[in-house]
Amino acid sequence: MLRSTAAVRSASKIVGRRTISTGVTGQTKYTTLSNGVTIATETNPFAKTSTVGAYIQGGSRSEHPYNNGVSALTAELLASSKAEAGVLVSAESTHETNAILAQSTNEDVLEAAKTISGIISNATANLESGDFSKARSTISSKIAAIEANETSKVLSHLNATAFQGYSLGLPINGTVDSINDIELQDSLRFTDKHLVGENTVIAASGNFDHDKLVDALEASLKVPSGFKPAVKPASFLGSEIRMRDDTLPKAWISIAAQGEGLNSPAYYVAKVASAVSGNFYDKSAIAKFQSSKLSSIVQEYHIVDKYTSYSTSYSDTGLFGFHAEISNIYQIDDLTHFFLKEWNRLSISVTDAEIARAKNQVKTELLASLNSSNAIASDIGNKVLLAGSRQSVKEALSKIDAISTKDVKAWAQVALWDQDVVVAGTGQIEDLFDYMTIRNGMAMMRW
Amino acid sequence: MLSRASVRAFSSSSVAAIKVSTRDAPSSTLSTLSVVVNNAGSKSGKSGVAHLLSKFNFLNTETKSALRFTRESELLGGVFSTNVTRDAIVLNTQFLKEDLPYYVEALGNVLAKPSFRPYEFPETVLPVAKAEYDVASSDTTFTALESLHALSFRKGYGQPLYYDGARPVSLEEIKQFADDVYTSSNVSVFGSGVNEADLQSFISQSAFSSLKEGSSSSSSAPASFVGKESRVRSSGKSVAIIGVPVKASEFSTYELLSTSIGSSALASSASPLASLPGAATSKLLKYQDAGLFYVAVSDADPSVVASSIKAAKKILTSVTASDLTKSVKSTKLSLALQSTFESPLDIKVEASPKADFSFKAASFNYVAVGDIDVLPYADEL
Repeated sequence: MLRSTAAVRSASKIVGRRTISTGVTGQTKYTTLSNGVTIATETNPFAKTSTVGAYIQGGSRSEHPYNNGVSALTAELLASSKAEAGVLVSAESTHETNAILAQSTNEDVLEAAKTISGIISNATANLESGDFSKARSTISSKIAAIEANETSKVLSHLNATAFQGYSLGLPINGTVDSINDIELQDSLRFTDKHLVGENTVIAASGNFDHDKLVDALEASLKVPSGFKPAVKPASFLGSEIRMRDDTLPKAWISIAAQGEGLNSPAYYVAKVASAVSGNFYDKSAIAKFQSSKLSSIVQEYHIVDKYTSYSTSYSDTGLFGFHAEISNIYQIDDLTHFFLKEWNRLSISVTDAEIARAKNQVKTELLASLNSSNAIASDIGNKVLLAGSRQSVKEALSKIDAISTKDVKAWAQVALWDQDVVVAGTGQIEDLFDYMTIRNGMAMMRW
Repeated sequence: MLSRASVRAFSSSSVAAIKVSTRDAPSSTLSTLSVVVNNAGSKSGKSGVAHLLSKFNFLNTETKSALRFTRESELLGGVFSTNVTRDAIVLNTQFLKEDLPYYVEALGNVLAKPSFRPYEFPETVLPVAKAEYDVASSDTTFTALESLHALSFRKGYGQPLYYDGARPVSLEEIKQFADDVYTSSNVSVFGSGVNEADLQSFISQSAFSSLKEGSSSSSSAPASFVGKESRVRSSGKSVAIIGVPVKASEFSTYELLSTSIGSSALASSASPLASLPGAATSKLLKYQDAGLFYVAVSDADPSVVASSIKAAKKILTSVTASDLTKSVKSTKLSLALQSTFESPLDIKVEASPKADFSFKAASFNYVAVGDIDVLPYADEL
């Protein structure tokens, strides 16, 4: 699909000369090397730096509870195995992908490419010579940092309970128990299986020439050819996890229903639905002026300090929910009530004006999120691996434009109305109602 | 209008003394428009007044209520924010390309037609400013840096960044400050993803054109002080900071120094500072007329901080000219990462720098925050 023949490759060379694209609307250019590795780039005339990243499909979803964290640890070890002056190398891991990113000035982009080739082509040797215990302690401190921050802790456990029993539920960096049992052999086994041509994408963003980058990578990048490993299945299960701790000053809760996958036709519909309630921060100057119905309710009664709505997507599933930070701990039930009623309203009486606003907000958010060469490279790498290709921003915008109030209602009636939810909370959550009460809030007795 | 030739059309021109810089790309659909009000940062005026004034931005103006502006802006999908730096008050907006005239008008009204309703001050501005100060000062590193600024510069850059509530500021003082600083000679407008001619014409039609000229005060390098020490008892993480006030002409050398020992702008696990226990990092804060280079160590365990700050001091003193030369390339990357369209960094990195730093106790400032029973004194480093 992404494979281009030599003819196509030369065609892209001609096109390449006159393409003027910015980071936000440029077209992604693809070239596939003979070993199956896809190179996908996007150039941006405003970029001050360039990023070349190697992305592989893997992540914690490719693991099991006993080697949980091996993919993040391997990426970290590989990233720290090579230091080049003027090139900043870092590792980035998600539930489904791992990446090694090299960032440099635009002039040094070929150095960055060389660094990535050096790391990937000699992965086994780099892993064997790398400082394994240092990489492990880096990952351990990442695990500790996630657990120390109540918000990330709640979201991580929410994901774990939503996909319990499946590898998608495992935390990205592993657990304190699993990470200490991982040995170098596990890392080598991981790269043998996952660092293969079909499963590797080199994504790059910045102000450089696509073809020169391809030439540099073609000459130096050696990846054994091989097929993508099968992605493990995952299934959403309505459930809850409560980490009540009355010594903490507030309550942190998150509730989510099953959301949309990256390839779902309703991907942007879910994003728009999520933006209807949007975000709220009690201590912001505009808190009392915000448009969303929910924000005017919560600020009037001061029932929440801060909430965020999200629609996160994995390759084939996702989570649609909200996270809230509450110091008024005796009114957690009020917040959940009003939030779930807002979700009910998406199926029944959400207005055209709300959808128009949400659509514009989703558009700006999408464009604004692609604000650095690292962010754009990661967007390319992850989308190409998980969705098969990356649609241009123009396509994305026209898809958002096409969404109508009816589409949102139709989606909500299927995806939200009377559907199971997952609940997670920590802090003073005595007042977070039992699962069945929350679950009953997903529908109303009246229409 | 959107010809290919206009790609990377950086320009700087003036309509009624307002500096306008734009860049455009035909295919971009997102625009950002920022207004930087120079000489309006926390270094200017009474302590805290700049922060409070910045919180009045995007509230009621003579032409539009805050409620109406917020709701209209949300309907357009736009995002707006404002913050205070030591040099300036900055207003940022992000929106879809076609909404440029709306935001030019809105930003012009904020500066030229603020209404400063008396009830907004206690009801919105004070609590929001207080919350921002509380969040910032819950981080002991912020407290330590504030103290370091006060030691290094006393006045101006040494004034607190935020309004701390220690001494009241009246609404009249804020109004007076706004009248002094919101002038066309202080204002710079930065538009990214916008057409320059369009922006110029919108600006000339907007309230920007009614800004009074003001006197452009010429800035000069502020007095700086070294050899001072401050110790603050505090809960939370312990922090120790070594800081040196830097002249604008020395930015390049201190950037090289920062990169060679490990900079927070270029986080890498391979740097000498990163290998120390606890979180150790360095940075050069670059202001308009001066800079402040610092090395900070923080950790929940004060004894870790105590040993690491001593080790960091050793790393600092052992930097040689060849270390600096080796980090030239990385420093260029670091500067590229720190430079933005709204605040471009124009620093030439020397190819063969000299390492003539002095880190004797009399030549740097030192701040310890946290468990000061355990943290060392400056002369013990």
